[in-house]
Amino acid sequence: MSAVNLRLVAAALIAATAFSSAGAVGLGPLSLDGVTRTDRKGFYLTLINPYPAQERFRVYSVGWDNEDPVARVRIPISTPLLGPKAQRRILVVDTGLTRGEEHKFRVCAERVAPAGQELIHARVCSKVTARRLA
Amino acid sequence: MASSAKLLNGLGLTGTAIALATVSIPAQAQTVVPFNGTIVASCILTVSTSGVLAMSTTGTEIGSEQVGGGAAVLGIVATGGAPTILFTAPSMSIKPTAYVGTPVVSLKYSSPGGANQPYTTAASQYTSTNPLGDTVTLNAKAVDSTGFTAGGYRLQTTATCQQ
Repeated sequence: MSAVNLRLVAAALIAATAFSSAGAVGLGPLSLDGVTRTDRKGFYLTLINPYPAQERFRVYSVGWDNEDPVARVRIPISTPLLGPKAQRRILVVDTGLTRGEEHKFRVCAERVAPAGQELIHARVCSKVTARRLA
Repeated sequence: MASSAKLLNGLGLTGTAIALATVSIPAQAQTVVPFNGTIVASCILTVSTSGVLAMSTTGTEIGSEQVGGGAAVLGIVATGGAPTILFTAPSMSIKPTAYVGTPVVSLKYSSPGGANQPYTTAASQYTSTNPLGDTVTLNAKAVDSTGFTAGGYRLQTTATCQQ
């Protein structure tokens, strides 16, 4: 590759990264446990918008130690819009619990951004354990 | 009343002294004003500085440590205990359509809280020694011995904060 081409590539790279957006999100508590007598158990998580502007976030459930979605976990407001530096409680409901079952999963939150548009894609996950009495 | 005055005089007390004594010991009522609160473990991740990629003089590497590049900075604020930060294996998320190479993408990071990860292509993680948070400096690079075509590139990793 010639020196001219190298300079062109370098210029293109700098142009490409100049508009990079930064990711940020906050979530708590980082672990939750709950016991229920029925087939469902609700939890509240607190989502935090660290941005000085209104932002939309995505809240979703995945496996305890993998990235597989957990369909039985319902999150009624899964793409909340939060004001600048605002916090909001997010309801998470685990469903389909059988008698004596202990179900472990994670709930993760991240800012909604076009795929691949962030150099560091930041997210926070809470570990949730729901247990139904036998 | 006269007998009381005689008694007081006999004790060496004057009327003024009695008045001062009663003023300095007012009737008191005590109550407790409570301030209750619960600290839950939470985590806030903030990418305060996005990384910038630049080309090596050989044309076979683009990275944030090349001249003209810049590291990314990830801020972590934690309450209730030091969380663990997991990084996915870095990847090239944006590239020109003309580029069909197979780059080796790697990530390294360090922090005052104990992170010290050399360049790796695999997923990695660390737990900060500072329970209040940490500041992680990250660098990324992509190497392709056949070079890169002109255009925009982006290297990416997902940072997850959890316990």
